[in-house]
Amino acid sequence: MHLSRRDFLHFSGVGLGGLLWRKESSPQKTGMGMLYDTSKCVGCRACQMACKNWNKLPGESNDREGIYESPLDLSADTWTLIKLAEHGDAWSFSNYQCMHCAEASCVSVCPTGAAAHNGEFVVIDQEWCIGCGYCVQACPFNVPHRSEETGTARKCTFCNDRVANGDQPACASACPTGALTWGQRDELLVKAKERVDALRISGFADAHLYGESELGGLGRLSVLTLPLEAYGLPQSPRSATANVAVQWLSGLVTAAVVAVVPFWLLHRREAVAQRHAGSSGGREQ
Amino acid sequence: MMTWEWPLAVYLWIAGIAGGAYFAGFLMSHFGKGRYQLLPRIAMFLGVPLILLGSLLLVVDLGQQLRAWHLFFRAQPPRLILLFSSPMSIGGWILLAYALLGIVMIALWWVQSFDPAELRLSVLSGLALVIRPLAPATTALSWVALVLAALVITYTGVLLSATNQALWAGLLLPALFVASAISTGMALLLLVTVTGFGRVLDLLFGGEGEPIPKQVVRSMSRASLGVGIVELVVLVGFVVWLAAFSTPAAATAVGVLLTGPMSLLFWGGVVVLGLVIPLAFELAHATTNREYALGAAFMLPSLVLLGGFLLRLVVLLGGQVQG
Repeated sequence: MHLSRRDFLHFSGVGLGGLLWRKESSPQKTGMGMLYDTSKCVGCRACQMACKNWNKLPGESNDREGIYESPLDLSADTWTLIKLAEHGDAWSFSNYQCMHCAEASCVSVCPTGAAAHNGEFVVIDQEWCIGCGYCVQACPFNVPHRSEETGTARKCTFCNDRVANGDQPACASACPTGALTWGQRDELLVKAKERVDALRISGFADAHLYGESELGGLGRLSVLTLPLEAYGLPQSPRSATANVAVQWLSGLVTAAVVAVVPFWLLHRREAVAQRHAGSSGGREQ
Repeated sequence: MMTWEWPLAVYLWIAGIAGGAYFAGFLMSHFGKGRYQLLPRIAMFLGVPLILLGSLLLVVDLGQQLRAWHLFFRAQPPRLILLFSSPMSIGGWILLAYALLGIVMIALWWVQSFDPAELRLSVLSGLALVIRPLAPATTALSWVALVLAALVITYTGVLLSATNQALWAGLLLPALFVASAISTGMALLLLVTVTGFGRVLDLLFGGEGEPIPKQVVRSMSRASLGVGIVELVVLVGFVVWLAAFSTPAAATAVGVLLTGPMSLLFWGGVVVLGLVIPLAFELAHATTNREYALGAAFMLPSLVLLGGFLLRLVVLLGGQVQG
């Protein structure tokens, strides 16, 4: 919501009211989207490399040895990452990137409007971001990170520059097995549900779909073969600003309580004590 | 790796002190029927620089400091920007409004406490001429400032709450920061009145610079006790709620404070030094008629201020340990 000067003056009067009555909208995600199917992923990390190449992201080093994951986590310079998900003896690969939520917490908390729904995707405007780090704290999937180099928050853009030219995101076009597919989200949804059913029949009892309705629908759908905990994804992700009106109230009500409990009561006691002192001949105290 | 480092804790602390001191000072003065008139003035006189210093810390903590103005203006097309879903956007405007109003009010009080003929410096008397017509609005402005002060201290809590960090995201963090802010604000006022600084400020606002009466200090100490008790109750509520009634992630997060890497600062600093010791002394002081030794009168508010800082620090850093 961008306000003109007149709007601002108008709203400043009813600002708090507007805040209290504001309702979280629940747009259902439409348009293009990504589908990640862990049962087709061979963990080759072509998506990781393609992402780094296209977005000109530098490599990162870490000093851990003997593990498959590298880098260890998403960062300001790593926007797509393959990790290993484990559940008892069972394991699967797992691709992490921005979920492009319909109700995106980063968009809600961004104080400048730099993080915004750019058409179908969530994009952080690198020319406008001030690097406050609020989106980093707000994201339920720990996706955006602040770059030391640029001073801004950076994350996956779904390669909006490629998509705008009719191409698909670099990760999807590099994927050799069709584990990452780009397409109309509603078509991907049908495909994903069929795949989950097929996996269940062929012995993956825990197979399920993630992203259909979470946070108004995620732009990225995932077909997962292990229980959700194995992937470190939240069962019911919440918007960072879901309770913000109540949180404002919580502080203001406390201020009101403190105004009454020590200050008003203290004054009452002192007033009574003074009257008492006055009637008994002005004794000390 | 933490995104929000200790300078932000300093900001949360001093913005709380600034807003809390005015909130407390105004209420003392309002309910006290003029006996404590100096308190809101002291609060504003010290609060505005604190708010400005805090805002500076916020800007320094940005990744792109020179773009700080993006918080208020859009360039294409030029317009003001206020995003209601973002506490930081609202907070930026609140801080700006509070600092500007504070400067106007300090000027108003100062102008009213001197005779125009006394103002020898021509710049200052010019300023006095400009500001004097606003004088009838002083009372109304002082109420506006009260609301803004409440918003400033609430904002410091909501800022952290509107995130997905389990320690911050509940409903009670703003309540805790508000209680702590008023408590530390009261401590600042006490510290100023028991040291000689209050007399200097009294002179500045046209008073005689007389010592603050013992009775005033006694009342302030009692009010401070009341605020401290509210803060203790809210802190217990905050911890118990997260540990027992919220999500498993929240229980883990609060464990960082209770038994984890922050536990020494939390129990030793926030609870014992910042709350239990000052409350015990203030309780003893309120129930007996003994006066404080000067050392205690100086130490207790200092401990409350220290405890307030450590609270911001352990909550800010502890909340990011998981992430």
